[in-house]
Amino acid sequence: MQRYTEQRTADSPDRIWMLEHEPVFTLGMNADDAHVLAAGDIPVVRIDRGGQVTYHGPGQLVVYPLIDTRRAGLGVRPLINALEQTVIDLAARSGIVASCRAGAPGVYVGERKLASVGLRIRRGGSYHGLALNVDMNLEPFDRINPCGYAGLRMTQLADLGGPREVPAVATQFAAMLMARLSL
Amino acid sequence: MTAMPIVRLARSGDAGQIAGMSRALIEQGLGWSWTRLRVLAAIRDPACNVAVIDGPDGLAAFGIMHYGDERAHLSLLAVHPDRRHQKLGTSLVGWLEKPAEVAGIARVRLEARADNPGAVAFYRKLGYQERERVAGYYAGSLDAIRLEKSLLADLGTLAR
Repeated sequence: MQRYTEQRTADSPDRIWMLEHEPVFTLGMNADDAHVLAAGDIPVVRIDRGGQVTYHGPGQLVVYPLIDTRRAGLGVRPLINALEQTVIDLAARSGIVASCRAGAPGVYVGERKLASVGLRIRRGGSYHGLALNVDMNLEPFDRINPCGYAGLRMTQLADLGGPREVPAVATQFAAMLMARLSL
Repeated sequence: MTAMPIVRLARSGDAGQIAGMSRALIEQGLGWSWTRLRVLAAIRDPACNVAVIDGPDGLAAFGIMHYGDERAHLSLLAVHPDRRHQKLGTSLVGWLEKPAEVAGIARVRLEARADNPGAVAFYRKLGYQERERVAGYYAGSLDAIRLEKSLLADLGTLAR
């Protein structure tokens, strides 16, 4: 995605990548590695997105919007809001009440975090994006201070009565996000 | 315990009041560059956030930040004189910095009037460091102190 962003021209199409990662802890550009408490057998990778430390693994939908933000007339905050609001709307379809918190990026259900967000914008092109917990092993989050917050607990759609299949969630999410961004 | 002030994005109807506060509290003696139309343009600019805190009789504080790929710029920040020392400015700066952190923006830059040591001290407390003095930054007649804050982890302490 970095290569696509570096090489894209004014005519390059926008893309939204939807994927699942193998287990990995990633440290964003603001991350202190003291927040990785006990990585164990899971690799730790420092990457060039904003934000703190998080975990990615099977059963989690990762969304990378590769968007020409200048062409789309889209700023940082509107893009973050669009990603977060799409999670909120998608959760609402299953009767889950999710929300954002002032000063703490991401989407929460009660005190637990459902989705994390961390972006990068270079030459106007966005990459990295959002991770939505669908139906995964949440134990690795206990090995870190997620997003830099000690004791922050995570949750996932499956535990809240929502969908369990990542491909189905990805299809819904992509349609909702594109509609929200008018892509 | 004092409740955290509620920060919200400015609406078009706030532009006149923000411009008035800029003229009275920031640009005094300098002419008026942040007019209502310029504030309105910032409110509509997707690369900008114009954030406000409401008071009982109008706006208590506002801030304007522009987000580039690598650097954000805090263009304006003001707190109504009756509402100072209540952490409103601190809340606004933190709120405006948060999208920059999420977006991997490396640093935030700002300029403060050189004749306002209180403002420079305020930003130093928030982690900003003085970089340079810019002669004639304001209307060609008043110097500015340029300050910057890195939003990146200190990799020097992490490489182990």
